[in-house]
Amino acid sequence: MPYRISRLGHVEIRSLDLDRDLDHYVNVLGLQLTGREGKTAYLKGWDERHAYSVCLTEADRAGMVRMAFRTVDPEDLDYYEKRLQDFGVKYEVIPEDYRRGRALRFMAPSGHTVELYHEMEYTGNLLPTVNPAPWPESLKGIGVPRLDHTLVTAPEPHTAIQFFQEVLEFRTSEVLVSPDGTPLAAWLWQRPAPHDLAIVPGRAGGFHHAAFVVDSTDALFRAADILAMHKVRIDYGPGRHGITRGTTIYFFDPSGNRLETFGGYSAYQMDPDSRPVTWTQDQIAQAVFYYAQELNGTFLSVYT
Amino acid sequence: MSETYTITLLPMGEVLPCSPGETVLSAILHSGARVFFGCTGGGCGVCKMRLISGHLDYGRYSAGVLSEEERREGFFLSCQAKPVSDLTIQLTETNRYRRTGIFLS
Repeated sequence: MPYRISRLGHVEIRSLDLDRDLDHYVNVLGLQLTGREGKTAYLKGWDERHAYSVCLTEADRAGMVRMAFRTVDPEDLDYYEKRLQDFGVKYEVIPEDYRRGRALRFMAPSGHTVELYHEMEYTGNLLPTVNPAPWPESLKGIGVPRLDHTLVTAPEPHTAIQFFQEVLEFRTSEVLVSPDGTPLAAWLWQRPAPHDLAIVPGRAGGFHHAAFVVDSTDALFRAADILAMHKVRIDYGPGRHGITRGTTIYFFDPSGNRLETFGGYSAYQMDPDSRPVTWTQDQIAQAVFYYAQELNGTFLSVYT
Repeated sequence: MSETYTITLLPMGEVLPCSPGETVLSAILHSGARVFFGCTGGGCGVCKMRLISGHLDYGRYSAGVLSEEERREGFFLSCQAKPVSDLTIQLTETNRYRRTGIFLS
């Protein structure tokens, strides 16, 4: 099966106070502000080559507005349009959006608005394309290079997981199963990385977190230092997940949306025929927080 | 906002000071007690408490986790709300109040 989705392209997150929260996203997380239109600010990591990966929109509540996946080729959008039709999924065509081309928008069974698109303005990353340095010196805060994945909640996770597997052809890297074998949570991938999207039990449309790459042990502890210096509420970490083996810091933006630094020395790569790793429900604590070996009170109950 | 108010926590009847500009949650934590809280940004709603008497500045919070109806019934998000008078608050099991004794003066 060929790859037709290259990555999680962008997420739109709600902010209770855009100016206040932009300070967090730009000066603490270290994203680049690439545009602002009306109540939405557009941001991206320094190593991302398109116009934005995060839309931050002022609203009367926190949470996720939508997640958008970018197809590998323009034709892949047509392929998925046919597939949505074949599976009887209602969708609308969004002719264009801010610095972005045509998209297909539909509601997943998890209650999340999902978009597929291909065209977005190519801006290049922050480095020259000839004889570049390894990283730009101008970064602020953590200076994350790029968006990695998102994790969302669903009242019937197995239904939502099946939708992404069957209709959008996500592969499964890891799955947490109940004693009768029903998937309670799954980590789903399109890039050859541990996951682009994960689904855990919870409210319909719930936003658990969006994660940004922090890819060395030095960078992980530096990120934790910066969060603490700015008095950001850290939910967990620095630590490691059993699932995906990735390193992590969970923290909250000022509107209460959970964000994560993810990656590092341990996150693996997938092959096309990689088979899922299974975690049993009785091991959920170590699956989530490998070192603590117990869930904190907030992991399954706190999200927006 | 420049006054220190007192917060009475029911059913224990414990009385705490709340410094000027401090949130209800912060005052409780500073007293050495623990309650369950989440994002501290007004987004997740797990620090919700119920006001019995007194007046609050409710702060900025997500309308998705505290409805107008709940607010009329006295509920507020303790991570955002600041007293503007002395308060009496009714805690429930969901607040997971506990006092370990380590910080008792």
